[in-house]
Amino acid sequence: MADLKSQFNSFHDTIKLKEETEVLSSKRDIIINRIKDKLPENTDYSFEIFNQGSYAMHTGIKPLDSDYDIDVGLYFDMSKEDVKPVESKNWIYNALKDHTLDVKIKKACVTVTYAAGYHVDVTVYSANNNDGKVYLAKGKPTSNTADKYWDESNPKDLIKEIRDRYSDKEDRKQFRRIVRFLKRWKDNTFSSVNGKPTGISLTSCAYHWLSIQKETDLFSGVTTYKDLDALICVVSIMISNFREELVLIDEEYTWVSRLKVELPVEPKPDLFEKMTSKQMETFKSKLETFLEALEEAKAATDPTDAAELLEKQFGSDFPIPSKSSTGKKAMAAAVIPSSESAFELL
Amino acid sequence: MIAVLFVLMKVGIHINRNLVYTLPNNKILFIRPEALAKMHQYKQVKWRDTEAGGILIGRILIEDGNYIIDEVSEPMLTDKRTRIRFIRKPDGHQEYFNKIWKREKGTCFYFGEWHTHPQRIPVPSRTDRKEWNRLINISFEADFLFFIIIGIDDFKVYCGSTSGRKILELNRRYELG
Ligand SMILES: [Zn+2]
Repeated sequence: MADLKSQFNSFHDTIKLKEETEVLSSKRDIIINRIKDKLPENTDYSFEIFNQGSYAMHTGIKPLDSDYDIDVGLYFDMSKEDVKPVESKNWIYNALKDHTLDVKIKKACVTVTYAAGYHVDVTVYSANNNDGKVYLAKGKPTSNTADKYWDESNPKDLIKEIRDRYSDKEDRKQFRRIVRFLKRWKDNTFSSVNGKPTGISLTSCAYHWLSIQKETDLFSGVTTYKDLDALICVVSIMISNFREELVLIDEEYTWVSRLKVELPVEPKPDLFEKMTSKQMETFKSKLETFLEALEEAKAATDPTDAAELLEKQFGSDFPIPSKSSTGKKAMAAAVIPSSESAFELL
Repeated sequence: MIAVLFVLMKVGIHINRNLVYTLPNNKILFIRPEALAKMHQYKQVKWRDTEAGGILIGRILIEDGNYIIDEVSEPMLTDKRTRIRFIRKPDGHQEYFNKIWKREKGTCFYFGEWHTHPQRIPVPSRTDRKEWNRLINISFEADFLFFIIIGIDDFKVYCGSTSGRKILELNRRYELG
């Protein structure tokens, strides 16, 4: 019954996005200074800058393609009635456009791409509304009118909700480790962006469905966290939460198995809503393969076998221990005796 | 070579999950499929096949104290082999052990003995039991020694604690469905 505690710990150390690197924070500072400098030329609304994204939630992992994602949120002191969403994104675009070659207005943000494997996503919010809510500017200049809108969003509440999940400090750490493991599994298992679940959707699955797995030794009082069990727990709940739905495909009603998960804050949208039926099917079968590997790894006696099974799911950052590193050291080499055996019919 | 590979694959798929035994101290014994395949090559299927045997070498896991048989030695030229008897000298088997000891940086133990019987379902002989009792009274480092008899249709695993208690037959445990 392998639990691979030390392999999971070192895997976590490898994939965890630690203290922001100097490069990352200096890139962020450059963008922020540029915005502070140039934005007043484009608008009179005052704004507040905050860090968002998985780093702020303490669930960030290193990207596989070393394309680091820096998320900057701007809370504008304006109501959604006063400014059109794409107009506000144009302010940012204009402030940044001469900064690097590559500035693009995307659906949910303005993205600045550096050649060296970093990109900064700047997100615009309207934060002074009569209903007390915060709205995210959606749409590109070229989008249809229906796709240009203010979308209710609570990034600060979301960060707080995820960051402060579980009041016990060690429980919280297991939650964050599980989120990171699920995200790396996703990056390793889905080759194309199409149909790949988002980081926040998997984070939300762990938020809702993880139950902390730990064991306390009755004699020593020492608590051990069982990450392999925790993964088995959350992945099996994900699989069992798929529901059959009748969907119209090519003018025919077909039963399709779909998973829904709510964002933990208002307006609590279903984060898997955009997946097509086909993508859902792939997602489910990948989850099933994942669960099978997790369970087989747990059942394996030899930690090397167990780690090999998990390396297929998590990728090469998951360490495979050498046999000699898993075994106790003998005091001395055995002196081999002679031996005799026979077969007798009694 | 192809035949051996085939055996390995077959063993790997089916036996991985079956070859787990619970020891008297509630630890688990796992026999690696490669080791088992090696012993199975010496099954006494034909009338002329002679008994074979060797030593068992393995690990005691740091993680949970479970036992794994990783390697087995094969009959050496100096060993005496007849249809109903196998006499193993230390020669060759000691060198085999030393080679693994060096490769595994001292993380391996002498775990006992294996041999074949020209029987469908093997039953230990009086000689076997007498030998096993002698061996568990030599103070080896591992808390247990294991004894495997390979028959034609099945094989049996026995275990004796080196603190000198009696030899028990171990029952296979089925891990997953
Ligand atoms: Zn015998």
